[in-house]
Amino acid sequence: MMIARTMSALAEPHRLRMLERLRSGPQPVGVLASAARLEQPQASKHLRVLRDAGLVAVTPDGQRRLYALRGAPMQELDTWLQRFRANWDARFERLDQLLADNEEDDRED
Amino acid sequence: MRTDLSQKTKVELTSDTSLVLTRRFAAPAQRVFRAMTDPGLVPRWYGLASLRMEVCEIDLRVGGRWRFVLSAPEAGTHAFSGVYREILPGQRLVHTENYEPLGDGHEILVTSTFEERDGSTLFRSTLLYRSKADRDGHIESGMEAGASESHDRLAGVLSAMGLAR
Repeated sequence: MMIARTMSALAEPHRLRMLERLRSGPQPVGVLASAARLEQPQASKHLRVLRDAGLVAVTPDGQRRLYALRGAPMQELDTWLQRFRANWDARFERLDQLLADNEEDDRED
Repeated sequence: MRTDLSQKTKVELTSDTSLVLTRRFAAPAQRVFRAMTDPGLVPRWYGLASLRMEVCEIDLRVGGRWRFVLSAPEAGTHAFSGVYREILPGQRLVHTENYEPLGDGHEILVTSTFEERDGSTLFRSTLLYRSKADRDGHIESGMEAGASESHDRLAGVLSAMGLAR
């Protein structure tokens, strides 16, 4: 399941730090390694997990390789959560109404 | 007091085994707390278009039990129950929650806080699960109900347009 893979890829602090670093634009592995405070080989291992999960894409840039964020898995995760959120939204909208009605009751008191 | 505070529920996955729901209500904390703990009020909002609330029992004491039964025309009845652990009216509520068919070992610990500011209340509920599978399963179940919820809405729209009986 894609979502499980996205979540397990995200559930690691070094990888999260690298993703955060990528928010400002594509970066080479060295920059990402120092953002995550890792040696380059370890950073590469984590980047492979992110790549397998589709969270980053790699493009060659002359001699080096640049890593960039890919939004698709995050959007999928958001869609998954969105349905759960929609239920609570529906409930809480009715609660808003109830709270507003109560307010009128209080005024009549 | 109907200021627009972008009243959308926020859902955050805060760890592998937890999630946090956040929502602002345009009412004082005591009133929000009451609407969430009074068995006469909860059924007026807790059901969903696809899930009617049939039973709402609340024994609001530390160690007291609560039990909600929701029923869907095609998906049977769903019973949830738990025990109140901490009760600070208008401020804080801690309780357990269990979807009864799951049996023991799958309890969720729900810690809710109510923060009042300028007459509105920030409600924040942290759901702590026993495992990641439990957490994801809970989201999945919401997903199914959510899907039928939108089907219901679609049906409503279609019928309003004269496209369905």
